[in-house]
Amino acid sequence: MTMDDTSDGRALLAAARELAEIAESVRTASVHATAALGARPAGPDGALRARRALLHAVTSRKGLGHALAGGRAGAVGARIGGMVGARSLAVALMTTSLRLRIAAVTLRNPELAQDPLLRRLNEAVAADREIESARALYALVRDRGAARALTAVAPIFGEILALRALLDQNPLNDHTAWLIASGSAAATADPVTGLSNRAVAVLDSGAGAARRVHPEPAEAERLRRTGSLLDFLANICVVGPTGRALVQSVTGPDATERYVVQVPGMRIGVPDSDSPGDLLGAFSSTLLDSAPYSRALAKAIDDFGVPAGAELALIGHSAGGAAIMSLAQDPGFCARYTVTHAVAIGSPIDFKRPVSSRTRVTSITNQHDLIPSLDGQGAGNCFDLHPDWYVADYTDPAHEFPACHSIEHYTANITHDLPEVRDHVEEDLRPYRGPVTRTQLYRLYDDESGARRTVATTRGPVELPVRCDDAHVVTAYFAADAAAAADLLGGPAARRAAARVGGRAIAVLYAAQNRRVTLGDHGELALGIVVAGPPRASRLAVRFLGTLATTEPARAAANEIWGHPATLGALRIEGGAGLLRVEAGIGDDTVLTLAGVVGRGVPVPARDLVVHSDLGGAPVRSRIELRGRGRAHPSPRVRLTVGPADHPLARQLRALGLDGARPLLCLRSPSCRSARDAAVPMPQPLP
Amino acid sequence: MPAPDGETHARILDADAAELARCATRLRELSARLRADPATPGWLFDALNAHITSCVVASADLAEAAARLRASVPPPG
Repeated sequence: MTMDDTSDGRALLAAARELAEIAESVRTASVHATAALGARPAGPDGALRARRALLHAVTSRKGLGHALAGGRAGAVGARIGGMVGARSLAVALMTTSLRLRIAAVTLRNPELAQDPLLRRLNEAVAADREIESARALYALVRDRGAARALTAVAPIFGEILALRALLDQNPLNDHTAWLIASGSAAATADPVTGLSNRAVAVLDSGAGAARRVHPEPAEAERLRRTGSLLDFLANICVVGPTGRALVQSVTGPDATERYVVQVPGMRIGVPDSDSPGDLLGAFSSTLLDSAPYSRALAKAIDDFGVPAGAELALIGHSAGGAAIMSLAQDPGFCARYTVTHAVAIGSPIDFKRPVSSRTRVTSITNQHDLIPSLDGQGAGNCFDLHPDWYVADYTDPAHEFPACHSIEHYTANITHDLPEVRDHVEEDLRPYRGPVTRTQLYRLYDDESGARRTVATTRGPVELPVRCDDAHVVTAYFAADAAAAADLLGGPAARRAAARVGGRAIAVLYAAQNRRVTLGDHGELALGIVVAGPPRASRLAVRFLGTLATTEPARAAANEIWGHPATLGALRIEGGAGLLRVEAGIGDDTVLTLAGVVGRGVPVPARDLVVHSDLGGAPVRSRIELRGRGRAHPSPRVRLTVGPADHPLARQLRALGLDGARPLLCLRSPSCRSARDAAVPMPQPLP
Repeated sequence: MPAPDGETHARILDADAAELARCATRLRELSARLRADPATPGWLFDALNAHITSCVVASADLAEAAARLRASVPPPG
């Protein structure tokens, strides 16, 4: 592991910076000449000669090259030039600057030069051979796999993208390439396609919201009770990329109470969930001055009761680092609180600027991590963008992207491999060293509507929707005795609602082991009958006959929020290598076992389950939303065995004729996300 | 803001011609400085030579255009 202190690399980077400055001067001259060419001529004869001379100046291959630039005419001319591959002197100079940056980074990362596939890619890109560079990249990915290929090119990723964008024949990405190459602003468009990143980022809207949540018992145990850099990083590891953030108060060495905000990176999952830390939030936090992520953090800090004027340290990883820098550059926020420190780990923050010059900024980045380069500036950055920041940009070829981006890897590097960085930042954060006096975890939302509400149950408040970050879900469908199903549904009206296939009703066994849940980790099992939806709604739904929950809060929620008869019990779901075993019991008695060989199955997305029930005598509907991948197993070789327990669930299974039955279909998602909001009244009562 | 007149354009082009001549000088100095550095890749010197030539030519082109533009502006009065 090395820090960037080789004098050779610095000399080349200094030369690259000078070349970029010269390229800027030449471009400015090109803009002026284009403007003069577009001006109205003063007289007929002399004007014609002047225009010819100007036209020659901005098109001569021996001089400025194809140099139409600036203004409407310049933009059109530049695009035409880009499409036909005509280059300007300014672009040629910037290209040389970028190639020199790659050479400088290669000095510090010798594997870039020793690797024949990387050398081939470098040479093809620099020589403007598009087909060859695409082939070289393909060969690299084929040889190493996508992850290792990305790791290999990570230190020069920004430069390769900018080079390709400057030299290819797509005029839409030239502006972004110039921004990256000149270090003048964050990249505003995808350097490959030219599509505007800002257009994507502005899709992320919302005033931000934060709700207090309790950590899981295992998490609470691991949260640190003292303040230091390593403690704060350990806390971010505990919280993880789950859409939550942590606020703590600490008593410093001078007995002053200070506050620390600890913010993990991007939430893993769908691109635009209602969390501000999703993929879209990562984009907007990087590119926009203010985004839902930073606004949600401000709400959490406000809720924590941080007094006006109090000193705050902001610590963030990945998109969380960009979000805390957005707070540090928010004049309103900084007028209210004193942001003394902003520590960003693996974050794209090169174009963030704190309001106060007294805010001490630390940026720690691994050169093999692509995420800090999302704003266009990576290891090859030759501009002194932050002379007043503490920047540690280190190389660690042992770790591959995306593993090297994880907070756990950064924490390990800082703890064990970068003692001087660790000691420097620890010393810098000395005012925050001391006992933690209060800890509060928050779940962050794009806006208040996503945050929803808390409802009371006999077993305590429940935040809705109930969200689960890691669920193992098994849904098995059986052909069941139609008459028994109708009896269990109750009454002739419900009987008409039962959906039948070949004269048989369809029974559903739903089992879920829910981990990282707002309601606390728990398991749930439900037996239901497929019913037709209400008129004008063609979707089928499941009416739960009975449920089993493994914790009291989950049992109370099932009973009181969704209207399912629920019993406290035990549930185990095991599987792997084509096998499945679901076992449920109450006390010492086994209620059911579903076990056997499911085989490989076919990949399917996890499917929502619409659930009908009665709440306070009124028919209601709720939806178990499932997000993630799963597998469908038609006619699996598994069998349901009903245990000896004299429990309503066991009796219902026997009545439906399911003891010893094999399911028609089994859906299994070993790791998906789920959410379930409050039940809503049915548009029309069950017929 | 009124659009620049011919004389203003000519003045700007003259200044740019001088700036490009300075760029050529900076590139020569850069090339000389890097020759002493064994870490400098060999291809860089060919590229710098080409850029120096282009800057000199571009400087002359802009100076010529400035002169033609000035000549096309009718004398005051």
